[in-house]
Amino acid sequence: MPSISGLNKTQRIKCRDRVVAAAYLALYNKSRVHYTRGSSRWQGIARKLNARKGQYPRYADCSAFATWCLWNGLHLGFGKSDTVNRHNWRGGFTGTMLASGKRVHNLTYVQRGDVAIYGRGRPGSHCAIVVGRRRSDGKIMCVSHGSERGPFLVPLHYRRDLMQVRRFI
Amino acid sequence: MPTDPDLEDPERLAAVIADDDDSYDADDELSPEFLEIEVVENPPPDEDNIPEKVVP
Repeated sequence: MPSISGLNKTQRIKCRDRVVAAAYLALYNKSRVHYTRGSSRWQGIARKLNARKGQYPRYADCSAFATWCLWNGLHLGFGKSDTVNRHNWRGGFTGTMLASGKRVHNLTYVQRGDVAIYGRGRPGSHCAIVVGRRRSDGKIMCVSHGSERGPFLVPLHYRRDLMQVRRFI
Repeated sequence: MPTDPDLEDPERLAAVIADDDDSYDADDELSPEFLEIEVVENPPPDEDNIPEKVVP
């Protein structure tokens, strides 16, 4: 089956590497990454902040943060168009994420760079980017930026209202 | 019981699961750099994200 992004296998791995590296960079600099629901939440993409150059947004909300991570992999890595929100990398939220990409039905197959969407029905209320599995227990781990004290490294099921996991790579 | 239409038909379910299997990404263990980051099991409540006008 073709991937959502059109990338081949090798490219997808490299893309996921970049997505995870972006999430890690923001997590490592969490004291400088503030939470906002204002328009500045999109500064990561609007200002073309490249995680590979050590650049990261100072303001974001959950969906803008996850989208910035994916933009680093898909757009900066491979020049791909916006498969995440279908807003030409200029906006979006969990509602547009739910309308894009594809759902990962079997959580056994969740991969790095997938997006966990939380809430009690559409359009969802929160999201987090998957960054890998914890070696000790195999739990899927995500980076979530849902409050001023974030971003945090959290387990996929840290909230009880996980709606679905979606794939955009 | 599954509520997703894709999961109600056994053949479609099998196809969906096969499609989910991205076994090409073998390196899904948490990257070593994350190991130094504290895992937060119960973070503060998340703010709800909201639709917003597209940035010009």
